[in-house]
Amino acid sequence: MVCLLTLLVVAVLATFSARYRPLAREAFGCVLRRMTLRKCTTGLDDRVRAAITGRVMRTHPDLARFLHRHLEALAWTFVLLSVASTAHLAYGFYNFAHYGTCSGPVRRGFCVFDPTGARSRYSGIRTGHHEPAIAPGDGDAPSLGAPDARVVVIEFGCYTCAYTRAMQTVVDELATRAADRVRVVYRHFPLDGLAVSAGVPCESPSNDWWPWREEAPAAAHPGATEAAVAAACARVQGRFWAFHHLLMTRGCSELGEIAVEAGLDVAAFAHCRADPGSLDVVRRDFEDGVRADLYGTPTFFVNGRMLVAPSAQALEDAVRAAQEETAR
Amino acid sequence: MTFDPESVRKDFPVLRAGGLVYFDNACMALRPATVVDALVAYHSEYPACGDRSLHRLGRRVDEEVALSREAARRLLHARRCEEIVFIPNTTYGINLVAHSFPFVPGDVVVGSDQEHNSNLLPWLALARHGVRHRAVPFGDLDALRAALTPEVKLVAMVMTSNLDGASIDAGAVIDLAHRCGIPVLLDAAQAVPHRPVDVRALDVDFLACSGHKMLGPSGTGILYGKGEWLARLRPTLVGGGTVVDSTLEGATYLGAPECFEAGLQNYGGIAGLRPAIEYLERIGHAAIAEHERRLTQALDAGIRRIAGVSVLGPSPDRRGGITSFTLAGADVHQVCMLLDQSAGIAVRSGQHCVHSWFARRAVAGTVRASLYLYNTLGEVQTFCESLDSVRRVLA
Repeated sequence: MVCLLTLLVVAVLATFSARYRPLAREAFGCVLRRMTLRKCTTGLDDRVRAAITGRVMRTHPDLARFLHRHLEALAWTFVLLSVASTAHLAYGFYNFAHYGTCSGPVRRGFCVFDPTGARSRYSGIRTGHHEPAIAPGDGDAPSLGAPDARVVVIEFGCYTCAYTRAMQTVVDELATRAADRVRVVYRHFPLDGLAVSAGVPCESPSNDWWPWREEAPAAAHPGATEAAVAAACARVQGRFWAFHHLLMTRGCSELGEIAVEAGLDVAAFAHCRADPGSLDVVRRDFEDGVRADLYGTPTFFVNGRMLVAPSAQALEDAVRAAQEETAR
Repeated sequence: MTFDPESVRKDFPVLRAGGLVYFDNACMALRPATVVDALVAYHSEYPACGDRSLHRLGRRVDEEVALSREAARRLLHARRCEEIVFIPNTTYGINLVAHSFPFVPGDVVVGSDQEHNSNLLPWLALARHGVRHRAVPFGDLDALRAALTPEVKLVAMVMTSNLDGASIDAGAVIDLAHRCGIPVLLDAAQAVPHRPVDVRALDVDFLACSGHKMLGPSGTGILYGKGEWLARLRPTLVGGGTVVDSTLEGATYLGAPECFEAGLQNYGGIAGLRPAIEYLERIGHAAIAEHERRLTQALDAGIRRIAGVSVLGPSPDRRGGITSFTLAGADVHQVCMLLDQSAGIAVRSGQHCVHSWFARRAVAGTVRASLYLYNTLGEVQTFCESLDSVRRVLA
């Protein structure tokens, strides 16, 4: 394994300097021999062992003795760590290619390929859904545009999702510009997984997600369901879109103030929010989203075609394609 | 007949920086600044052809080569400069004799059983011409006497072994061979750098040594041959600079040494050989030998105190500057590398190109510490302490 470890290092060095190429070739030959269960005959492992041990000997003779005896075991450890690290890196590559971020559908944590997070456009969630995806309908959800439009854009969003909120201007522009041709529907997909957490401040994303954890990160978007229920209650009073736009622009931390600003009957609003039945609307949306195999918000369905966190241009293209398709 | 090694060390650029204990002199000696300067001078002042060009640069080359040849003659106490052939190394010199000597099928060459590959393989290679090699125990004059049968046409023997520093009684070997009318070639690579060698006093017929083992540039060496023997050799490596004239049918060859120095030579190296020889002359070979003997005794005493060390060869006062040893339970290459990495000590490990000796004894190899004029007792002490540390790590 010392040879393999050496190969990993000198292969990089040999890429840039001819000085290391003979050593890289030797290490490669040595690794090939070891892979075929033969002993490395070039003495490379001994030279590496001596180089390491000799340097340590100058200051720490006892440590040098330990290294000389156990270098092979240490090399095995490093190799296994390297393999694990490489696998993790490959997983990150896959996630980056597929989801636009290293960490997978539930985007949390630092991504080396996207250190500023600029490429990320959605907040993820792991729903545990493993059945075949079923494209959702409008679910009698609030909508903008012509009721009989041939192109229906259904957005699944969350009020605690920064990307849903950022996308709102694009959605508004689409709904205004193509009001006669496109119907835009908004459905709730609270990223706390319908966890009602009264009293917890809205919008406090957590970064403690790890890929091997299967549970939904309920604590990642506290207050998301409460905000969705509040919007559903605003709809009862016919003020959904006003309330919705205020939530999208100002966030969901001050629901009471927003209700007043949206012109709601505050007492009726409070009563509605306190009614457990108000959650049913949000639950229905969420469950439709789960059945559609959503893994993040905002997700759009343009005449049934799923687009996860599309750019403005991608959404525009999808709408145009749908229009052309329905025009035939 | 003493000198101060500390002041000598100042003359060697590679030693000035410190941090290096160089005990690999049997392989390659270090160079004093005068040698480096001579090399630089050739390449910067007169980088021209020798023995051909009549312009000023060419003449300077010829002058420098002539001065170096005279220095080499003086070093070996040869009778005439024409007996000095410049060669790239000892191996080349022995091969030159092997392939130029007027052997006929059935002839035999006698050597010892402790020869460097350079004085074994050239003779084994002659097997395809029907010439055989016969090995006698190293230093065994009785065995040599018995081996000198009528078909023996040459005795080719190492003068001082690079394996353990042991020397043959060269005078006795030559005397014995000459009584049988057999010429003698000495591989003096490990002798000439370390002690006085007088080819006339020895009455040796051929002697080869390397410049790079005696402070000279690498790629230089000297082949001494008695005038009458050089005249009997048939030059095999021929070409430019070896002939008086040539036609499409044949050539008229020059005499020695030119007929053995085919093609353009390593003029820079040859020019650098002279300051190396002059440096050795200034210190004195006898003083160098005495210095090495004292260091070798100290080194021998020091390492014998270390558990598991076994030293090869005769007593330290008969080993020149060479000490070969093994460390029980330790791989010799590991010892070598750890000495280098931990203490900056350069020694040699392995079979030292004497594979035949190790093969017969089933020994994997030895660590070889070989000393020279710039080594000090302090370095010997450092070596012994470091070797003990290495032993503790490897134990």
